[in-house]
Amino acid sequence: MIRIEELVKRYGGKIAVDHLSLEIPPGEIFALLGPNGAGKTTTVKILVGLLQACSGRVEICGLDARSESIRTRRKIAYVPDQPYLYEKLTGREFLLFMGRMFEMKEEEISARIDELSILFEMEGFLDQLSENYSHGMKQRVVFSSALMHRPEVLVVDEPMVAFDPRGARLVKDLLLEEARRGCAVFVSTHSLDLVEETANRIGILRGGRLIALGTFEELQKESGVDARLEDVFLELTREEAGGNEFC
Amino acid sequence: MNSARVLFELKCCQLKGRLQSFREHSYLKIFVVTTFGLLFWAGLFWMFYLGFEFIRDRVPDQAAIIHHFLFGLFFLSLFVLLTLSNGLISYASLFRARETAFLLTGPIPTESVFAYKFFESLSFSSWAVLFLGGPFLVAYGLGEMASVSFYLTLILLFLPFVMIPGALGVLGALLLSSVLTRYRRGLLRISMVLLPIVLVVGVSKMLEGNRQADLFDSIWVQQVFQKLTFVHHPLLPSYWMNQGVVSAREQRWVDVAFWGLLLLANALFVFQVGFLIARGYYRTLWSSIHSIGGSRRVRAGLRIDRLLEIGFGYLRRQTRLFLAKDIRIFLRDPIQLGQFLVLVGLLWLYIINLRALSYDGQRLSWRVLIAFLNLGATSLTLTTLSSRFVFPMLSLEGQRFWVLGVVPVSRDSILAGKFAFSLIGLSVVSVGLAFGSSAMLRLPWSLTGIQCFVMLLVSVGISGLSVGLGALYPDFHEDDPSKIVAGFGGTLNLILSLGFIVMAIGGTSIGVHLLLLGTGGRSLTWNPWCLIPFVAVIFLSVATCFFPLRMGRKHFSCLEL
Repeated sequence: MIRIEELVKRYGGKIAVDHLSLEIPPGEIFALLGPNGAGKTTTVKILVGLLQACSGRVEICGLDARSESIRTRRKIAYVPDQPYLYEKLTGREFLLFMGRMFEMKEEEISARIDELSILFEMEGFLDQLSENYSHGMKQRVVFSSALMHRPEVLVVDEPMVAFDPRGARLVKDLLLEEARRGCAVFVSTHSLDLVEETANRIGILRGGRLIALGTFEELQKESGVDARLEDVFLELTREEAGGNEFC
Repeated sequence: MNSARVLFELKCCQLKGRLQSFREHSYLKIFVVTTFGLLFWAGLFWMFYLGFEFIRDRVPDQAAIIHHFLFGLFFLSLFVLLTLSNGLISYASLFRARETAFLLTGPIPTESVFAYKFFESLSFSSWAVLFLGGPFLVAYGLGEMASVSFYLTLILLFLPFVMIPGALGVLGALLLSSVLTRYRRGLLRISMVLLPIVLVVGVSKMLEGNRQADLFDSIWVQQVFQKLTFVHHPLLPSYWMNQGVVSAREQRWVDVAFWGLLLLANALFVFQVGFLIARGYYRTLWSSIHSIGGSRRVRAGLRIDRLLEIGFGYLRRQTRLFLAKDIRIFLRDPIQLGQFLVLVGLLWLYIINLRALSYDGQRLSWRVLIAFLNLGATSLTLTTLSSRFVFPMLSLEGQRFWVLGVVPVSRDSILAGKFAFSLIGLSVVSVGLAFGSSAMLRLPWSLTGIQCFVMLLVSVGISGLSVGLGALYPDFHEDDPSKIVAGFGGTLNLILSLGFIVMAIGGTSIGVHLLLLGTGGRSLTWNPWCLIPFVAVIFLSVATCFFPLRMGRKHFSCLEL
C-alpha cells in the first residue's frame, strides 16, 4: 500500500506539490489526474524515490520511502512515460538484468521472461537490440521489466502514450489483473477512458493541491455534472486554464 | 546477486552489443578509422622518439635531469587534464544521464550507482590518456633500451595514477553540484569579481619583462628548471608516478613497489571519500539538482539578437535567427561551455606564461619557430572544438528537426547559420590566441598580422569542413555528441581537419621562412617567392571550406526528414 502524508515539493520558490495526503490500499487502482503542470509527475518521482520532498512523508508497504529507500524500491515498480532501455542490449538481456537486480533466481527469471514475452507478444523482437525497437515495443519491454519481480506497488506515468489499440487493451487488463493480485496501482495519466474503465478511485491535482478525491460517482456528485469523466474533469479544473508547467 | 556484479554484467552485455553493432559497419569505415588511428599513434611515437634522441645527443650530461622534468610536466599535465575532464564527464554522467535516473529507481544502493558511473566516466576520460601517453612512454623506453618489465610496470602504475585525478574530478563535481544548488547566485557574483582580477593579473604578467638568455645555454636551462621545480613537489601524485617510472627504468623494484603502493593507497583513499559522500548525499544532491529552476525566469536574450543585428546585419534575417538560437543553447549548456572554457583556458594559460621561459628575448628565427608551434597548438584546439561542437550540431537537432523542416526557411539558411556560428566562435578564439602569442613573443607587427590572418583562414577552412561533413553525414538518431563524433563522419572530419592544418600551417611557415632568408633569420625582407605559399594557403583554405560545404548543402537539401 501507499501512504502519502502532507507532501510538499518546491522548485525554487514555486510549489509543485502542496500538502498532498493520500492512502492507496492493496488491490486498488488509483488514478491521478490533473492539467499540465499540476504536479503529477513530481508526485510520481517522489513516490519512486527520484526526488525528495521538502516536507511530508511517503510510506510504501509500511516502510518509510526515504529512510528505507532500498527496501522500499524492492516492493515498488515504476513505468516512466519515456521508456529507458539500453540501446545495445536486447529486450531479453534487459529483462534478465532487471530480474538479477531484484535478486530473483535464474530459473525464476527465465520462466518469468517467457511468461511476459507471451503476455506482451514480444517473441518476435525480444532477441533484437533495442536500438531497433519502436516506441510501442520499448514500452512493452519496460512494462514487462516492471512486472518481473511481481511488485506490491506499481507506479505508472502515462501508460497509454505509445500503445496501439491492442496494446492499450492489454495494459488495461494488466492493471486490473495486478490489482486483483493485491498490488496497489498508482496511475498518473491524461487518458480519461483508461481511468473510467479501470480506476477504483480518482484524485485530481490542480496547482499541486488535491482538489477532488473519490470514486467516479463521488466526483460526479461533487462537480454537479452527471456526465462522462471528461466533463467532470473539465468542470472541476475550470479555473486552471493557462496553468504553470513544472514537469 | 551482488549489485556490483549485476552492474558489471550489464556493462559486459552492453559491450557485447556494441561489438555486434560494430561488425555491422562497413569494412571501409573500420579500415579508415583503424588505419588513421595507427598512423596517428605512429606519428606521435616518431615525434617523441626524435625528441628524446635530440636531448640525448645535444645534452647527454643533462639528459637524465631533462627527462625527469619532462616526465614531471607530462604527468602533471595529464593529472590536471584528467581531473578537469573527469569532473565534467562525471557531472553529466551522475546528474544528467537518463541511465542514472533509471538506476536510481532500482533496488540497488545509491553508492553502487555512484561507483558504477564513476568507473564508466573514468574509463571514458582516461582511454585517450593511455592512447596519447603510450607513444611518449614507449619512445622513452625504446630510447633507453628498457626491458619488457618496464612496460608492464608502466601499465600497473598507470591504473592507480589515473584513478586519483578521476576520483578528485568526481569529488569536485559533487562539491560543485552541492554549492551550485545552494549558492548559485552568490557563486556567479564571486566569479564576476574574480574574473577581472585574474584578467588583470594575467595581462600584467604578459607585459612583465624577463632576463635575457640564449636558448639552450646554461642560464636558460637553469631558468627553465627553476620555473618548473613545482612539478617535483613530493605531494603531487604526478611526482610519485614520475618516480615510479624512473625507478622502473633503473630496475629498482623495491622503489617501484613503494611508489606504486603510494599511488594505489591514495587512489583508494580518494575514491573511498567519494564513495562515503555518495552514500550519504548523492541521492539528495540528485534530487536538489533536479529541483532547481522551477521559478527561474530566463530572459528572452534580446541582447544577443541586437548584438547580431549590429555586428552581422549583412547576414539574412533567418540565418541570424538560427545563429542566435545556437549561441543561446551553447551558453546555457554548462557542460558544453565548461569543456570549451577548459580547452581555451589551458591554451591561454600557456600563452600568458610564454615570457616566463624567456622566449621573447631570443633571436627572431627562434621566436618565429615558437610562434608557429603555438599556431599548431591553437589549430589543434580549433580542430578539437570543431569536432566536438560544430560537426555534431546538425545531428543534435535530432528529434527536433521537424521544427526546422516545417518552418518557411530554406535549408541553406540553416546551414549558413551553423557556418556563421562556427566561424565567429572559432575565429574569435584563434585570432585572439594568435595575437596573444605574437604579443608575448614580441613579434613584429607584420608577422603578428600574418599569424592572425592564417588563423582566420584556418577558422574558415575548419568551419566549412565541419559544417559540410556534418550535413553530409548526419545522425539524427543519436543524442550523445561524443557518439556522433566517434562515427565515420566525425572521424573523417577529424582526419581531414588535421591534414588541412598541417598543410596550412606548413605552407605559411614556408612563406615566412622565405621572408627571413635574406637576413639569415634576423629580420624580415621582402621576397616575391614568398607570395606562392601564401596564395596557396589562401586557395587551400577557401577550397577546404567551399567543397565540403557544397557537398553537404547538396545532400542536406534533398534529405528526407
